[in-house]
Amino acid sequence: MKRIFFLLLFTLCFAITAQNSKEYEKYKKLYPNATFVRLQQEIIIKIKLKDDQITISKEVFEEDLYLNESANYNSKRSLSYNTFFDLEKIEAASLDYQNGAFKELPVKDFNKKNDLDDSFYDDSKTINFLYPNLKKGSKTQLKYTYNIKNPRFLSAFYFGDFFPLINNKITIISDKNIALQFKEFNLENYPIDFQKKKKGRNFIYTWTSVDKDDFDTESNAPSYKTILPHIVPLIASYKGKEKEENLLNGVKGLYNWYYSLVKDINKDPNDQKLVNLVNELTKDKASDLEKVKAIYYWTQKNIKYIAFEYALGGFIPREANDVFKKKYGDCKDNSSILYQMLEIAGLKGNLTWIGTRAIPYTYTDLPTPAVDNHMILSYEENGKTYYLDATGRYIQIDYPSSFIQSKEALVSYGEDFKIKKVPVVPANMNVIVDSTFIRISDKDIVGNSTTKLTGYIKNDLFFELEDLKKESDIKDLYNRRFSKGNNKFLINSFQEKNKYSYENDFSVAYDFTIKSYIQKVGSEIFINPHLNKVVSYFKTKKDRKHKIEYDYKKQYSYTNTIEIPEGYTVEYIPKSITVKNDLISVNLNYRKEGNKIICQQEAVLDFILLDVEQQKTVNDIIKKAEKAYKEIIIFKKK
Amino acid sequence: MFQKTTIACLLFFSITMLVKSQQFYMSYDWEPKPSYSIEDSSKDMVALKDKIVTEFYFEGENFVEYFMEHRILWLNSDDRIEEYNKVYLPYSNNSKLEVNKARVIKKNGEVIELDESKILTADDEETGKKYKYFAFEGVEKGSFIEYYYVEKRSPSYQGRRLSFQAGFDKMNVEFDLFAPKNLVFDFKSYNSIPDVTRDTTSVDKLHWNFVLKNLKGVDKESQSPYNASRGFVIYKLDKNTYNNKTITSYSNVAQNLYSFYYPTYEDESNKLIDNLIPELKITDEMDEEAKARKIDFYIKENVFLSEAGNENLKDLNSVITNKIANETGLVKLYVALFRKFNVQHEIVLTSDRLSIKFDKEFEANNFLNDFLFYFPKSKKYLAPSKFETRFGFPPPYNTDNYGLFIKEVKVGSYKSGVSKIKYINAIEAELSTDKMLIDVQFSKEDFTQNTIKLDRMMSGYYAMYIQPFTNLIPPDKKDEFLDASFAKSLDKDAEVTKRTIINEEPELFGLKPFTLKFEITSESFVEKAGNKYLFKLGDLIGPQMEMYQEKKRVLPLENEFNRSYLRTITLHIPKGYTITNLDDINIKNVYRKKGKDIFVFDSYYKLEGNILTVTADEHYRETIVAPENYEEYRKVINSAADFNKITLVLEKK
Repeated sequence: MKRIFFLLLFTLCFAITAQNSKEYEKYKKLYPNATFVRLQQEIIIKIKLKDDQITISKEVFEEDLYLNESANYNSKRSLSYNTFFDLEKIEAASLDYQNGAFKELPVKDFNKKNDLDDSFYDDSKTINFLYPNLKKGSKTQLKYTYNIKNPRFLSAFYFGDFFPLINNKITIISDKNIALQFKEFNLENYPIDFQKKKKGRNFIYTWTSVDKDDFDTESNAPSYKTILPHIVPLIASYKGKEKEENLLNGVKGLYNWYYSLVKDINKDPNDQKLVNLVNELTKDKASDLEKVKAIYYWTQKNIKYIAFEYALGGFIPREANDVFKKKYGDCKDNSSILYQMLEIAGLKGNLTWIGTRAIPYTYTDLPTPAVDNHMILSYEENGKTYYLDATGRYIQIDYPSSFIQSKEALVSYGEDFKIKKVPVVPANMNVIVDSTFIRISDKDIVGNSTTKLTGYIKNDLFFELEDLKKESDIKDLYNRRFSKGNNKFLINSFQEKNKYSYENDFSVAYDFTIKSYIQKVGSEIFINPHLNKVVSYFKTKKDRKHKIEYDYKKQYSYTNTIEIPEGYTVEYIPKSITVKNDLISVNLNYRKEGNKIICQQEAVLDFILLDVEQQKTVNDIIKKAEKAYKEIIIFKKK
Repeated sequence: MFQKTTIACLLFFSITMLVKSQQFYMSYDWEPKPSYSIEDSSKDMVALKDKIVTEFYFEGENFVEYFMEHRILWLNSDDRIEEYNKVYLPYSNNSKLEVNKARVIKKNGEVIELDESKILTADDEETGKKYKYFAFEGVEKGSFIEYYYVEKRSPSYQGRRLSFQAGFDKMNVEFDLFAPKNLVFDFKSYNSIPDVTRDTTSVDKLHWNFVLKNLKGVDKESQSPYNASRGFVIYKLDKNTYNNKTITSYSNVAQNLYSFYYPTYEDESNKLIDNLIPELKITDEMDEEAKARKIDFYIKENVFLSEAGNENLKDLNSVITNKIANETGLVKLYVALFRKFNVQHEIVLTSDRLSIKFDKEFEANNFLNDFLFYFPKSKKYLAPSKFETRFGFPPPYNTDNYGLFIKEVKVGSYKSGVSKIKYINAIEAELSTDKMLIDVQFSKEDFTQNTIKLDRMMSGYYAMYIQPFTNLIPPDKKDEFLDASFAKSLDKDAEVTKRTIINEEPELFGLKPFTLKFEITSESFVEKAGNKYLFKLGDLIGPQMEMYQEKKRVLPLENEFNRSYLRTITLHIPKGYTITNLDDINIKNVYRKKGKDIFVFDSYYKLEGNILTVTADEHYRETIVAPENYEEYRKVINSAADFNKITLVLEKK
């Protein structure tokens, strides 16, 4: 009996060791929550200089180990490449653990694909392949080489990722006559090793890190670039045969390159039809700003967004005449036609490069093309700068597009430039003002409202409205957007004012019912007057680890006027209350006027980004507001 | 999907018998000097022309198709311009664009023709798809865009659908089909499209067509089978009159599929299949249903499904070795294992009922889109290539629909596949339930605080999207995920103090309900009103959909699957308090058909001492709701929303 037991135990142990590799056992224990770990990541960048020509290659080797049943969900991989990142070589294989050893199963089919996701037409392609036989305990190896065709496009390398990174080594072998700079991000308190050596005519830079835990992400957190530790290398300059040649030597270096790409556009005579159009648009306008508005709104309405980004076409705006003829373009093309139309009107706009909020760097932090991804036109008057983004729609002149708020703008003045900071639009420019009259009818509410919207809130609603063709669909949208009380809120009829207006506030007047909202017991009627608990939405999870981003600051004002039912008196109204801090304020005010009770809510959400500490203070205010939202008005039969 | 029988030998009879005539498109052109106008300018778009012509044609021994589409669209809003200013043409490796013209006609009559060089190409080697595409230049509000192209391609004739009706009004809707004199096509028109008729005046080729001066747009309605409800035509090559052979038939399909999916395996294959056996953990005692479950579970856990068309993804040996497959490869693997373990099964081919209803009266391959397996012993289905589904619960939109069932028949040593059209019943409501048992206590110190025990039991489709995948949730995310999905739907601020998961093993799906037991504290259910307490009973079942209907319903409403919600709430009323509005709990709405309760909402209560027991049950026993029954259905759905608004008033006795 005992013998059999031992025999069993022995075979059992044998089975376990045979099934899993030591590596698997080790990393499964260390990282029980990870789907896979990257055992090896090795990147070698070679930068050569010959006859004033820089050539760059980037070799990458990755080895991953899969730790759970979802291994085969990782079977499909793809690598992207384009004119500037030419994929030269690729090899891939699965390593299947069988009978105590890893067996290599090479990938044979690599399929190319034009990537149509980002823009209408561009040079981005992907190469796609499938790893065979991936399962728990398998490994994959991937080796590829890029030729980087433009010395300005060295890309970032990361020391942490959304998976554990065990061994990470980055080597740059660069000609000694090349001046490299390394821009570090999120590397505070994150130890990595760095060495620099000279070997022959080269410098060898090496970074290594081991056993780095995975990073986590959360919804609406800012870009991963603000979280993951990384370094962006850049070539500032090199010693040419004759002289020192600047590439990305500070913002000036980047600007000089950008300027070289735009300085020769729009040199042809203007299309006469374009001239006529500008004259027509501006003829009755009293001021320069009025003229700019007329031109700006025309381009927003009439030039549709279609992006062609082939090679340097991703950086050079197309001719205004051409954009005018086609009636479409991307951000650069829109900026080009705006620039030219202003010029026809005798006004001066400035081409402006900018990174959207998805990119966290400033120009001084990172003077490379990775710092921006967008182009707009700046217009200045009386010391104020207007940021015109004609790819948008319904954007009023004194609003930048919401996704560039707080970002740095690189503004062109011929050979010179300035860095400006785009302001954050204040909360009181993005407002909902709602004025509602309510009558209690048995258990239901019968009421009418006027809701007024401004700024980005207005624009967002216009975008939703654009898609709707039928009156009933529009009513459906308003039922959701203007919802009050509960989901039995139903609009009967509505009237719109200033729909799709760029400059005027949009308002909708409507009458509605809310079924079963009232509580009637014996001689008493209960009504919760807080039909819109607006700040609840901004409460974040209390154990949230990351910052949270919002599109814009906003302000709400709700006035609910409740008619005291006939034959009833007011038994109880809640006390007015204000809760606030620097980021958020909520004011709830109640008063009786004749046979009416007026309940007002003013809420200001004065932030577009909250760090973890700020989230806590905002949550505290919201909790207090939510407590007040529970307060009820009681009417009693006389 | 199917092995193509050599086209030429099947259709081509004798070249001398065919009178050569010119292809239609040679003499076709658009208006040289277009002057188009639209009378009613209140619309945001109108199609002025929507013409499709297809011609089947012999070029020497090559049988080809010339497919032409010619459209003129009037675009009168920014949104419509953005929707239609880009055109992607169908195109593939074995097709060629013979003609491709595009132009914009502005309101003022100015015509801008698109230069050929502006036509772009994109490639996807993986799927074999190619695109030719372009953007119209110079489109303004009120412009007409016009394009027509002729694509020469390998012919598609065993059932093809052409949809003509869209969300906007169309004028001059036309369809023509030309074919050599021996090839007789058959047509069927659906949903407001007139019959396609033979043009007997055509001499040197066969010609069928329809012309429609005006075709109203059909609006989208929520949960409607929109694509299935639009006007369309299906055509197929029916007969070759030279040899009187029927070309498109399900018996051909059955035979072809059978010989493709049920081959005699080579030794190598048999060896590889045998090697898989230990991994499957199938024992002799298991019945066929248990075996099929194991096979389904094994394949879906271990094989990766790809959309690529590479040969190795279809090859059984390679699929077993590499564990990567496309749909064809997967079906082969399922069949091989069913055969190995003697699991009786039939291959079923059907359609997604939202896209097109399987028409049992018209045999055409365009209904045969999705693979299922049917197990006659258990009368259950599985979907081989839908990895989010499991045995017994096929993709719901494939059910409540007809399908083509193909089964093996043996006559002596001869084996073949025979087909039969049968109805795929929707899975009964009783098998897809979401059950809640809720026990509510009031804190003695503060009645606005509740401790709640919530038991949630989900089965069938309700469990299918979670139970088979619980092992994939990272352990450190599991609690948060389960709390957020199943406990905090009652109250997002609730504190979950304890949670237990029962039957979380993926293989228990379909056998035991996925069960979660939570203990929760919450401050969200009670409001204080003077010396009374308002308890929001309805909030315990979570938010419920409220259906509005502004206009009379035109299209049917189709639910995904039949379902039941069963809720029992036990409320421990604080001592010394009474509830004054218990009658509010009673809500009952039932839609009956032929003596059977189809849609039911029924809530009621029982009071024993200070224990109040509330039951709120809901059943939906048919998936498809005809427009005339829509109001009845809405009433039942909205009853749940009414229940959700119930607030009980607690008063001192």
